[in-house]
Formats: sequence, C-alpha cells, structure tokens
Amino acid sequence: MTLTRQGAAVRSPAHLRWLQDAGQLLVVDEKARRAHVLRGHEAALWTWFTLGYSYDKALHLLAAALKCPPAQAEAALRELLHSWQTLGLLEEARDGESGD
Amino acid sequence: MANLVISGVCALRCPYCFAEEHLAALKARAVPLFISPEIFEQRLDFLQRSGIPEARLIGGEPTLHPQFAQLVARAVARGFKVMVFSHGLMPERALAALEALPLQQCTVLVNMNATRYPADTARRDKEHARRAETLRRLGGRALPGFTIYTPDFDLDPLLAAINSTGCQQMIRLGVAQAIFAGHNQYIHPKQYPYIAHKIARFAVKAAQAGVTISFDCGFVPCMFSDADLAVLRRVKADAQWHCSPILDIDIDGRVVHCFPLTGTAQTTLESTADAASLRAALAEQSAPYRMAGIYRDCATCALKASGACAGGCLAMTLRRFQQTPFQVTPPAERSTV
Repeated sequence: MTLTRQGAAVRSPAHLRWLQDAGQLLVVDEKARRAHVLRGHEAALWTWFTLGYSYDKALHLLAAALKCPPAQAEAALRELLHSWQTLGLLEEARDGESGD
Repeated sequence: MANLVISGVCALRCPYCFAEEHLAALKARAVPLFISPEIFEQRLDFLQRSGIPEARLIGGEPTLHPQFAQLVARAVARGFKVMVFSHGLMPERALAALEALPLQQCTVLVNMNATRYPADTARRDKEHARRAETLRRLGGRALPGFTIYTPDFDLDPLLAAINSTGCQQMIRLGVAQAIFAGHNQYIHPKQYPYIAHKIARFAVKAAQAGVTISFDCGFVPCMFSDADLAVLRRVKADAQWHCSPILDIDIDGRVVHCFPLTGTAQTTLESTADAASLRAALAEQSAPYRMAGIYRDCATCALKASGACAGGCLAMTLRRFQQTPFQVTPPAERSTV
C-alpha cells in the first residue's frame, strides 16, 4: 500500500464540511455535492486529525482501538488515507498552496 | 408555492429578522429597492406557467412599494389570489387597497411581534395598537402570525387582538431560525423543548377561545413531549415538521431556498423556468446536507428517515457543520509494512 508519493503530506481540501452525528460522522464535499458517512475507527481518525493529532499519535490510538500490533494498525491507516484520497476527502499537500 | 420579493425596504428592526442578510446582499449587488411593474409582470408569468394560483408578496416590507396597490390589482386582474407578508404597520394607501379586495382573494399574514423598538415597551404598545387597527380593517383577510425568538414569549395578547378585531381565528407560529451567515436572534434547538411545552399549553387556551394554531417551517416533533403532541392533536393544531425550498424570488431574479439560507443554495430565474425546475435545482444543491438534522440523533431517527420530519431548519443544521482543515504527514513507508 502506497500513498500518491511515499511519505508525502496530505490534507483535507477547503471545500469539505463535516459534523458529528449519533454513531456517524458526515463529511460533505461542497464541490462535488456529495456526502460521505464515516463510522467506527474511520470517524475516530477523522476527529483526531481535525484535533491536530499527528500521524504517529493517531496511529498509536488506532492500534489501541483496534487492539492490534502497530504494524497492522499502520497498514490499516495507510489504506484508509489512500481511500480518503480516492474519495476526495484528502489531497496531496503542496507547498505554497492554500488548500483549494 | 413561491414568494415574490417586491420590496427591499423595511423600517423595522426585529431582532430575529430573517431577511437582514438578504437585504444587505441586495444592497451590495446594487439591486433596485423595489420591483418594477414590468418585472412583476414577468413574475406573474412565472407563477402562471408553474401552475401556482397565489402571488405571495414579501420584502422587506412589501406594502412599502410605492406602487403596491397597482401591483396587487394587477395580480388580482390576472386571476391570482394575493398573500401579503406584512408587519402590519402599513401605509394607508396599501391598507385601503387590501381592504378593498374580496375576502377569498386576499390573505395578509400580519407579523404581530415585528417591531422598530425592541427595547421600548411603550412604543411597542403603540405599534400593537396600530397593528390591531390593521387587523380590524382587514377583518377575515388578516391572519395573525407570531415569531418566537426568545423563550419568554407571551402569546396571550394575540387572543385578545383576535377576539376584538374579527380577523381569522388562527395564529401562524414561527420559531426564529438562525440565518446561516448572519447574526439574528434565534431559538437554539436546545431551547425547543421549553418553548414547545409553552406552545402546547397555549394551544389549549387558544382552542377554548376558538382559535387554532398552525406551524411555520422548522418545527420538529421531538421538541414536544408525547403528552404535548397528544394535546396538539386534540386541539387540531396544524402541526407540520417540514423544511423544503419555498422559493424566494428576488427583485433581480436570484432564487434562494429561503431567507435564512441566503448565501448557500441559490439559482437564477430564467425566462422559461418553472417552480418545479427551480425547486429541483435548489434541492439538489442542499441534498448532501439533508442527511443531517438539527440534532445529532436526527441521524438515527425513524421519522426523519421516513420523511415525516425534515430534521428541522436546514439553515440551523448547516450551522452544525465545521470546517477544520487538517494535514497529515505519514512517514515514508517502513520496511516492515
């Protein structure tokens, strides 16, 4: 599993809005006019990142939540970040760009 | 249903005003303050091709349009019923024009707690007296309305006004919603259960006086206890739980979902458009947000899932959304992965 560029920073585009609902997190892509529902550890990770947690801290929490070894959690995390990129919930962060 | 903005002017200063942002946007776009007779004629064409039998006139304060009487006469001449949303402190010429219309062709929704002086009781009392005179002259054409924007509201004076003026025996209740991008005074959904109980208690008193209550958009059933809902059913209150594009059509042809959503969903009135196509365009724009409601539990609510409840006012729901950009920097893949 690889991201667009190995080790490249990714970020949430500025046209995303999100809210926490009972049992799920709703992310709306204002540009594509699409809603994405995140549940379980996906929703938790989104929340942690919006709180400014680092990759390593989120990984540590994810391993604890999934009750699995760090390597397994990291594979899951990278896969999730990749799927978020595919869905447009993340984009590659390029230096000097504002985010949208 | 579609509302036609005919005036961008209002002399009052209601703390909960939904149109404030909207009127500011009109000013910023340098839109004329009043609709011209020619454009109004085009709006009537729009209603006609949309199969809408009623011309609903809004503002600002619609009765402040210098040619209000002519516009109303034109709508009536073309076979439309006229509904006017007014603060009730209208110029004499406008009042006379409405007073002269047949009962079945005219309804004036009079906002009973509109005010120019939110902090001055004596002046508000004078406004109330003048508004009561408007109700008396309009008689059955007048439908009193009240916007709840603070939990300590008092609806009792409305019963006295209704009983002494001969207006419709009904009160249209609205709950003040937050303008998406504005700063008006509104009822927070956390306060809904408190105001709901007061409404239910008042509904009983109103029913005893022969007055029914009906709800404007944005109410939700879960704000009422089961006992209060039973009361509303017993007194035959017209309780609805909807929020859908009304269509507020601006002087310059811009169409918004409704005033509280100014700055979000909008489209433009083209010469061949009808209400259904405009409504569909606005619904499509707001569809992703409709998955949510004003409460977190709306996501798991069976009434919302079934469409029986819209989940409250969309403008209020939009305020729940956050925009929190974040960045994640994963390290280069470790060899163990």
